[in-house]
Amino acid sequence: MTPMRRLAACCWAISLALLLAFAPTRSFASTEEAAEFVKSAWQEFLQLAPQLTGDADADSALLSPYLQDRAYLDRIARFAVGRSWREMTPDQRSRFKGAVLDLMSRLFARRLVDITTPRYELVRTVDAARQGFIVVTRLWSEENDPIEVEWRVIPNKQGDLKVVDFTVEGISMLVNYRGEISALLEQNDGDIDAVIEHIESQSGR
Amino acid sequence: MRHTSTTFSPHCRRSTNSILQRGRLASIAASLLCLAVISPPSLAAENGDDDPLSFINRPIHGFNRIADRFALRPLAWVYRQVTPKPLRNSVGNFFGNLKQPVAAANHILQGDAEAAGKTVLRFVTNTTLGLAGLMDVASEFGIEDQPTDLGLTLAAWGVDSGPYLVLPLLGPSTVRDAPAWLTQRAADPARDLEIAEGDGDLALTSLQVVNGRAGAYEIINEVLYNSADSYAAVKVSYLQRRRRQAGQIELPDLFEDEEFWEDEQWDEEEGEETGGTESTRSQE
Repeated sequence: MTPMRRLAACCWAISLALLLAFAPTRSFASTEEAAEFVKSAWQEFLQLAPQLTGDADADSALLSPYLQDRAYLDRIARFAVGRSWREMTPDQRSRFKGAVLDLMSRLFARRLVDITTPRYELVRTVDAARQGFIVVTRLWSEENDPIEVEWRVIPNKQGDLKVVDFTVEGISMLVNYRGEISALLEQNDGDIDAVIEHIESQSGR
Repeated sequence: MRHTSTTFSPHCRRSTNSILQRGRLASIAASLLCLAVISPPSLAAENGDDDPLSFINRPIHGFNRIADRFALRPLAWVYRQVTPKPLRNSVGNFFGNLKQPVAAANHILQGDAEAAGKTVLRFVTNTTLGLAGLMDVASEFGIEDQPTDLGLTLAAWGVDSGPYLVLPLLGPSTVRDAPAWLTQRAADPARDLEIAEGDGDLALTSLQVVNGRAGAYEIINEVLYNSADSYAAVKVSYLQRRRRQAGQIELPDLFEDEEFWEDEQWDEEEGEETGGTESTRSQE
């Protein structure tokens, strides 16, 4: 091998190494990190759980900051409303995200109020490529049978993992929101303000 | 003449009336099934989300919701208060066990011999060691339930779910699932086991319905009474569950509108939340 060829090969090897080292993969996170994120999110929730009183307004107010931190509200809201997001004004978007956050807080408060046992089991973690990770867990409550919850997590633009969906008994929260919002838009001839008002009135805002 | 037999034997007699009724039901169901199977593709919604029957579905859903609010939900609530959890589980196990032979037949029709074998084993185990199905001993032995039905068999054969359909009192279904359910119910050998007839049969069916409602008390309340649009919530929940049972697991595509996600607004809006995700994040 001539010195020139050796130099070229060396340059290629260094370039390849650098490329691999700094390649911007989707996997800012691994399946292990996704599972660890869900576990820590669950543990954080368990610290809040004893403060839940069963009063919808109070519990929702308590859970709202937690969900703002752990959930990927931008994506959830955008997916729920679909392409109508394009036509929405910044004010409408902000109100809509607030309404979705409220819906989620109340859903959590109602569904998780009796889950206070720390028993938690990681069933499996699935890497769904660019669609994020699916972390399947089993959670226990005092009264009911254990439930299997699938957490879908995805990194945001900053690379922080966030929850975008929960699936319980085969029912995805995200798909349900999308279906409900779509039906409401259809009933209201695409009037997003009417939809937001409907959701706000539903959650008693 | 009213029969009040409470025997539990596969060789029991059936009343002529009952046979005629079931025969009629089966023929109606078979006709409906044929209708569903031969429906042109245009009738079947491409992904089950289209709702051409909403004009009739919504009023029926409204009626069902009222029936639930004023009859089934209160009954289920009282039932939960007066019966201990183990008893409710036993009732659920018993009715679940009766469905196993039909489930096994459906697994065979779907070409899944392993699931069929497990279902038969489960049925035999629970019927004998589990005191006629009252106890789910099989699960403790690791023989898990493999629920299926004729609707899922049709799905396995490539029959589309067709449009969403709401049945009075029976609730959500589809053009494929409703006749399949009727056919399966008419052909169910468990109905030949004369546990009870006449009022007794009605009482058992009522117990099954109330026990089922009580078992899913919170989740049904959530969907029916706490959603932004209960009709849409029930429809989407039902279709999702059925797709999943049919093995058609699909992740909602978060990147469906790729161009939009990548436009400049994304970076500007990312993190700008209604109460301070950014601020929360910066505290970390």
